[in-house]
Amino acid sequence: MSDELKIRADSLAKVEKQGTNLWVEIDSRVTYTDIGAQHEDELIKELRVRPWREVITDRYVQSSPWLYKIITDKGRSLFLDFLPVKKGGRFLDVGSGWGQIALPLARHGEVYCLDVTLPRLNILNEIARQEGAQLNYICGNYCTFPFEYNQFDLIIFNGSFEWIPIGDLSKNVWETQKDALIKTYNILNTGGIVYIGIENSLGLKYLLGAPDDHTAIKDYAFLDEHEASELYKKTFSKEYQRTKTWSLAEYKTMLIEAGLELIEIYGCIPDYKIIRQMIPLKDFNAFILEHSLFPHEHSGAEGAPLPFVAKMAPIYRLLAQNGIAQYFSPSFGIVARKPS
Amino acid sequence: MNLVADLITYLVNEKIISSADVAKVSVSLVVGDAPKRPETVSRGFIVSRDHKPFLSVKFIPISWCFLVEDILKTRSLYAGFKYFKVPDMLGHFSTTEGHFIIEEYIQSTATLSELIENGDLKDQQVIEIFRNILSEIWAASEPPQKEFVRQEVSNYRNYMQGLIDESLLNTIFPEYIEKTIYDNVDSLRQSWSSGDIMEGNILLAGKYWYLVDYEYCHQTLFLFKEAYRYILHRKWAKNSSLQDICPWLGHFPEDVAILLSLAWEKKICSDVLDIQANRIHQSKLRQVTWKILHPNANSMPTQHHIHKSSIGQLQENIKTQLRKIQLYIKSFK
Repeated sequence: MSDELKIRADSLAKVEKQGTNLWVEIDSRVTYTDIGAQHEDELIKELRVRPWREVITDRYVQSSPWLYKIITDKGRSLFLDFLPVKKGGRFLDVGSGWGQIALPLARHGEVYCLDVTLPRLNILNEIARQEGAQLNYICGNYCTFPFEYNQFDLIIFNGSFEWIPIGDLSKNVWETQKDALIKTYNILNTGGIVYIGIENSLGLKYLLGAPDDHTAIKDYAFLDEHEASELYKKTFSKEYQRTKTWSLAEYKTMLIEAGLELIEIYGCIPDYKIIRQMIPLKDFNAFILEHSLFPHEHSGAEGAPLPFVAKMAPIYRLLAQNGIAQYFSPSFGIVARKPS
Repeated sequence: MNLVADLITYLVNEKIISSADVAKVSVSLVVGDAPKRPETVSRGFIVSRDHKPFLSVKFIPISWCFLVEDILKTRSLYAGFKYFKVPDMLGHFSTTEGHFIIEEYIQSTATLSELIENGDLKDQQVIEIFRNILSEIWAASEPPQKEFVRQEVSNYRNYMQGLIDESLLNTIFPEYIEKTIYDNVDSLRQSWSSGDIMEGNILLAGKYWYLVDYEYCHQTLFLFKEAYRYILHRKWAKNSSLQDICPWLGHFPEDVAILLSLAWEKKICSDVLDIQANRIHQSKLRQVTWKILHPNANSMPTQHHIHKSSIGQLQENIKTQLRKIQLYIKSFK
């Protein structure tokens, strides 16, 4: 792929190209930070003069151990092993964060990292510089960024699909996410792949009382959108955050409605963010009966061990004996394709 | 990336599976929980046909610090052993990403870890299993070649850097250890170690023990270092000596054997662990090393020492020194 990122002809004025590898959506107003906006600038300065792994370790290993783990964990990008990636292709990493996916992908093709703020991308740029990786950056909102159709061979939402609804407040969460998948369909090349790493709202741990990963509210993940919204507003006395995960059947419905063809869904254990086991759902029950699952599931809100973890193995086993354990996997890795 | 696709292509090309079977084949991924750096993570793939596992595949990344040739040599040597079996290897191949080793899937009843955890084995029985495994490896070893001894001595001098920070000791001890190795070289052999002979890698299948996981294979002059890992980390071995597990150690001084084992442990941690895990491990290893060097240490350090010999101990030492100084000052009044 020799030519650069293509913007829809009717929306060229909405995007400003800065330098050789940065595209900025001019009116994008979405924000996101996992370390606090005030810390991002100092972090960038520090990354200019010190090895990034040391900086991350020194800053977060004590103060934010869960953040430290999900930035540095070896399992973060293991799902890439399963993806049929076109050599030299064009890839889009939506919510590229700390670059755990974009950096290994860059060895195989042309990577575009999309994030909602410039400081996020500047942090990633410093990390990429140290790693000697060539990345491209898009600062904007996935819902509104005017990508030209048919240009990506792979689009990755690893821990970002549930955040998509904050980018479009005009529709409900389900519709916003479905529209994002329709957009994904449109901007993928024929045969192009989409990967979604995401929690399962019906995960056994959530049924047993683990808090939701994005709101830290218990008995929340499996609620429908209206109930979740009400509980959120009641708990925090503020507007609904619009982060929502779904169950297996709902993800399948959403993908099909977007026109995408499902290739495989994997159970990611203990979490798609720190994979230790990745099991095709069709083998999930047999796998549990033969091997058992990685036993240390945690709260996805802050990484703490779950107090009821000891009783999960026998429940999984019973579910597997009944042939239904796949519905209760804590998270999924979903691989779909734009069909010919 | 594309690892699973590469694997399936190889399996079809080598007729390990037929083209018609591809649709029935699925692949699961399993990785260990050790806090490794991403670029050092090997993968275990389990290949199933109609939901039944039939192949076990190890993928070793290109940046891995052990050699594929050594893995193949070690597997080949161990395949002739009697006390334990090695899964049959069905093929191996390399890509730009790394190396795949394909072997039969062992339908095991339990791992040795599970048997220990369930209380099915007494500590002595576990020790005997490891003694038998290491003894068989030892028996297949050869007297060391001079060049290999020289190389190992040089390597271990490097591995020891940082275990002892004091400049004087850092000069004296490596020299002492080097001399001890040469003085006792007739007690040492050139062995092939699979490098990770731990409970999770020992499977019971029917009436046979299987040793799996060969990614750390290497040739060593100091096979006893495998046994020291049990003493350092495992409850069932905490009261054991190296001689209990490695009776073939002969007259080789146990304290030097321990220091060499610690040096190896330090090297492995540096090579594979992430920054934070490595920092923690190095600190623990230094504590254990000091326990060995301490003149009053009259027993082998164990997990008990690792846990106890931390800041509390340091504080005690400082308090003792302060009391001595106070008494000394008082004596002048």
